[in-house]
Amino acid sequence: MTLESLSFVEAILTSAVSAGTIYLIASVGECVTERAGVINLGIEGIMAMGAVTSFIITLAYGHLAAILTAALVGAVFGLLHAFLSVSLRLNQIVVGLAITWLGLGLSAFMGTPEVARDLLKSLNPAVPEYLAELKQAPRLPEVRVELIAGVPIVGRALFSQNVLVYAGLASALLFWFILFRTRWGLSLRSVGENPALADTAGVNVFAVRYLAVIVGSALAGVAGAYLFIGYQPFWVENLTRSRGFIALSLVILSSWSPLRAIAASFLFGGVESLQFRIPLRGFGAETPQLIMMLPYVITIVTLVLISLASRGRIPAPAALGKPYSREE
Amino acid sequence: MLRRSLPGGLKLLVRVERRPEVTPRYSIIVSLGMLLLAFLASGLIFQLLGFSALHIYRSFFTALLSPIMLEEVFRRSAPIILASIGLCYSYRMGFWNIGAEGQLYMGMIAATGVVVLHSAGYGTGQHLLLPTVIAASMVAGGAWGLVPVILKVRFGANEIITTLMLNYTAILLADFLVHGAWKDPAGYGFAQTVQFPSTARISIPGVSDAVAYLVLAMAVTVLTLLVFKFTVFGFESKIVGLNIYASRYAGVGISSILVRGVFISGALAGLAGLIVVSGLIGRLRPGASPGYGYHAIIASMLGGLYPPAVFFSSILFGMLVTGGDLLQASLQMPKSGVEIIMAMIFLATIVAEFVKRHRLTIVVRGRGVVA
Repeated sequence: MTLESLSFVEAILTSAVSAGTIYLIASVGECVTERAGVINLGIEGIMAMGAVTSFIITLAYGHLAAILTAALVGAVFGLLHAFLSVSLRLNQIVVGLAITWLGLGLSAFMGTPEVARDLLKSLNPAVPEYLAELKQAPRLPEVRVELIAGVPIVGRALFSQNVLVYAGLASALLFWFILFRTRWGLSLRSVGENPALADTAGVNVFAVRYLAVIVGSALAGVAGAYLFIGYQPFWVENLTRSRGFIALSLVILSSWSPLRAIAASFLFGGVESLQFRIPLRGFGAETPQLIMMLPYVITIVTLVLISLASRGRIPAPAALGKPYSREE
Repeated sequence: MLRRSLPGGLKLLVRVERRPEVTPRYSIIVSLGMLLLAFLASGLIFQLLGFSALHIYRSFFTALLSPIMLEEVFRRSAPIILASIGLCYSYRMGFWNIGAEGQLYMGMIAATGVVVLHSAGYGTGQHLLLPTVIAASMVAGGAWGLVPVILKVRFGANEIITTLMLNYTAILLADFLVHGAWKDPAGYGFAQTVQFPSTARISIPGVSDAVAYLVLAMAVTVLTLLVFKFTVFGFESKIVGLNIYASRYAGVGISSILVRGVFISGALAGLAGLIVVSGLIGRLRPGASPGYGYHAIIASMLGGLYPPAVFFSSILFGMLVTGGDLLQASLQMPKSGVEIIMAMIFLATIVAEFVKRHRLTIVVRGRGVVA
């Protein structure tokens, strides 16, 4: 390989990891939620809330506070989801859609310059108001892991990124370990496979499901924060552009394993970054819409391929989407 | 169940039970009550974000009730009614079609395609233009709906995800066309197509557009009610939704019913698209629909998939969409404020389902109070 093509591959990989982390954090969270038997279609809206939260809080108090607040906001939305879907046993699909709607509407409202300015003023009067009107916030700095970052091709992609990229990878490893190598994980998965049996064995089905939905939603909030301060620190309405729903399909692609979610997410990160690479080479520079369709079309194709590969026997948790009640 | 000891030796017992039967009157009262709660909750959010909820609602409703705005409300309700009545076909079969927006866009694209060809001198004569655009928009919307249903039946692909992805694809396709091949050469460089000729517009001689659209929407509503109540297809589609396995044993061809039902859904969304491009804005341009296909989802659920109720709940959404523009113009309040109200209505609708089916019994020291 020539030096030029080498750096091109390196650039592609770097942006694949950078874009893929949005999907990674969200789909790791959704893996946890769905393994407990609850499907959370609300992550699209929760990501949007995480993004708008990180926009305003970063300006007011800095990055760390922004990430934590985004997680907290996600958790609150998760609590609402769990109350409706686990306690009231309402249809999880409809509950998720309603939460997405609320998240998208509320974030669009809070992100408009007038509202963002007022919020910033009441949070931290010392910060000049015009910052909110610029719709921008400082990006997370890159943290280069010395020595390893010098490794050719993958070094820069994996070890010269911001701290949330590392956190995303760490969370995938951590939650894979918890799910498949600890007692807690076993209880959580049993709730997703056969809640009645888990209940008989002394597992508190309701508590586990609440926790799984809240953890998954908090991670979706962080994914939204990463989307803004780690990836594209300029606020536009509908910033998420269905990425939450794509993350949901990546959970299927990674057959509900946080570890496989790493590969699936970076693959889709690669697809997403092609949007910016292809026009540079001439095609679609004037009208990029066809290239922008790629992630959506590839998501559909992926779902079909999964079905063909698994011959229609997709290994979903057996109780996924079914509310649990002791009476029935 | 919840048991608590209260001070003074009183015992409190709270129990949630299934309600044996739900009367239509009770159901309507609960729905309206929850609707009111949704407006209160949204008002609380506005208040928290620094707006005066009272001021917003007052100017919202006084403005909407003026005759000119009422006409606009009805015009903009029309696509929502058509799309939401269409969605009833999908939802009663348990098919989670979130794709009305994409199907609506495909209807707009197909109708515009016919008009662009026509203005370039190809295709039909003036008198055949209207039937052609109607057919084109309905077939295109229906066909776009067939994609997820075929993927579901053949490959088990989750229709929620596929319909959402197809929404974006259709919206981007419309963007692509109006920025490129279909851009009006005489449009001063704006990304928009040529204007629809009056011969391609749905109208009734002697009445305003709003009335013509309402008559069309009402006809579709009544027809749908008749289909649901009195036809074999209406019965079978309900059976599919109630229990997909039982109906398989009863010899109902699920795939063919799903395909037909979702095609009708998409076709009606496509027709809604025709009304948008031919009547509401007169041409195709980016962002032609402010989300009518999404509003239709909540409207059909708020109406409990019962066509006459869906008709009226769609008009409520027409009011909200129109009111959103008013908020922006007169109160400098972001348009997305109405999205919050819509989300609250959505949440209230699903909680209402729980309230209707359950009752709360509160017992204090043996004396029962049934709420």
